[in-house]
Amino acid sequence: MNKLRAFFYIIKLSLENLLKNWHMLLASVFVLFTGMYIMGTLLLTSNSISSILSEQAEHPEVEVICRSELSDDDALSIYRVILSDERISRAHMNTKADNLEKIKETLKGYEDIFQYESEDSEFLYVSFDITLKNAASLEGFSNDMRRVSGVEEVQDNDSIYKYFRGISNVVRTGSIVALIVLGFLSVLLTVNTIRLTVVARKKELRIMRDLGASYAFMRGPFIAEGVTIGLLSAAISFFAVRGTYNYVAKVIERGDNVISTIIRLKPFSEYSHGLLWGFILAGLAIGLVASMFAIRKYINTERDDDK
Amino acid sequence: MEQQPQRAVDRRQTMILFKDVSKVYGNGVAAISNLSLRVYKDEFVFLMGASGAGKSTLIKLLMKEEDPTSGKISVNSRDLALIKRGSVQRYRRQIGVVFQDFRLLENKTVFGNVAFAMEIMGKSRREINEKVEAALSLMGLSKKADEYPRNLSGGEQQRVALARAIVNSPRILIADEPTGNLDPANAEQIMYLLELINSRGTTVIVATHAQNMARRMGRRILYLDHGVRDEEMSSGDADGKKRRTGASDQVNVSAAFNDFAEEAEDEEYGSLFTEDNAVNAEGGDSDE
Repeated sequence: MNKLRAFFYIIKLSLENLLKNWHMLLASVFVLFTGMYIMGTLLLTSNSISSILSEQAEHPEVEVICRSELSDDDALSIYRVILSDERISRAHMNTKADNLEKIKETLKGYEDIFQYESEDSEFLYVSFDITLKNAASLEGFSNDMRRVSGVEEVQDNDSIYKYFRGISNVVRTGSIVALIVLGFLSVLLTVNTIRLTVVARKKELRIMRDLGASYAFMRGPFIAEGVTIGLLSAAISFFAVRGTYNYVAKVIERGDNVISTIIRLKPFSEYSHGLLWGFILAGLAIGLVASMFAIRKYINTERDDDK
Repeated sequence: MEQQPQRAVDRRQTMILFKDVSKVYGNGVAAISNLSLRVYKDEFVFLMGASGAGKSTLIKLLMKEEDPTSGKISVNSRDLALIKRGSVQRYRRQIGVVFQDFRLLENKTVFGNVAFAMEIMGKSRREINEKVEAALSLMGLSKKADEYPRNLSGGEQQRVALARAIVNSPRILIADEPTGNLDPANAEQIMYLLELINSRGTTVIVATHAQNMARRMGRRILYLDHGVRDEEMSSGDADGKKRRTGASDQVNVSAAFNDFAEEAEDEEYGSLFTEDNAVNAEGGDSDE
């Protein structure tokens, strides 16, 4: 019962201290939030790119566009060449009529701009959507297709994926560096913030020591403060990262550029559990480590101060 | 007649024992050399000596803030060297301590300051209210319970510190220069209260420079000069009334503190020193 009362007293004391030193609380939370936000953003960016790349690695896609003078029947010979290639997983032929429908769909509401008299219009073309068995054969297959007679263009987005692979490596390396640097900075700044509270309460601690308060009781409020700062920062960081992610996802979804066609961010809910627990654990760890470090150092030198 | 107190003391149980204790600090300063002394249960002892004679070090050794370089210290038959670091705080609960600078928390009321000593041990609110009120009543501070230390006189602040020191019913009360910042009238009040606390079974040790006052009290005086240099039994108070050591002693209440002494009702004071509390003070309810 005494332990339970002591526990609640510690919680009460730590909350009182946090409210009393609200400016220090804000500073600590801001520092931790900044660190966690940057970390969270980098992790999600890295994960999203990895996810896109792995999807591409699983299902590398190529679009082969025929010359417009080729009719649907003429393009069948190219289709046969494609189907006979062992590197493909599946292929789909888009006739001129299919592509006309696609254009109409794209220009919905503006159909009057282009008037096609027939499907044989010189503006229309036959195309093939091809999925390869693996990404390693993407470059070779694309080059082979470019040499086929009647092929106008081959789009494999390989250069874009190479670009993203480069970014992914940079982001991954950056994440590791950020984890080390920001983790260290967060602990350091939180230690200093808690130490300020410890120094401000030095007299109180000395009285507690003289009265025979247990070491656990003396440390308790500071540890509770550290944990509160950590958890508060984790909660704010989680919502901030969620807002940013959803905003970016919406921007990409609404975009009409090449990136929008190849990038589809996963829903945030797929990351939310992992991210939330990651933040909570990081907040707890930083709060605990920082407060223990700040207090331990103080208590170790306390006796020397008295001499 | 002069020998009676000495014989009474000798029959008592030893509360504090220093045997050939030396303390040399890291910088090479020898604060105490081969100190041997014995303080009996329920005794009231003055520690006197010049600055640097080792009074503060002796108190630190007793509080186990410092460990002796050599020698043995035991309190209530317990060897302090055998107390593990994790149990030091539990040991300190047996000792109440007051200082010259009062060491009160400015952001807490008088009641809050005294209650703090019990709150940190996880005592129930009912028990805290009961004991704190009794302690404040004993110290003549019932009407000041809601005041903050800054609004109190030096004497009143020291009485708050005393109330805080005894509220957990310690076996030993150490007062380090308790009257150092007080005028003579307030100093006399504090001495009266220390005697009152002692008369109820708490061993009291007072470190002081106030030689005249100590000599008037009729108590044993230990003169420190890195070790015990001399020991004497003081002769009595200014009125010539002999004071004796012992739990059943009557204390002499001077006119200077009659006004607040009336508040020190025995019933309330008694609630601070029940058998249960004595057990608790020994560390039976540790929250460690």
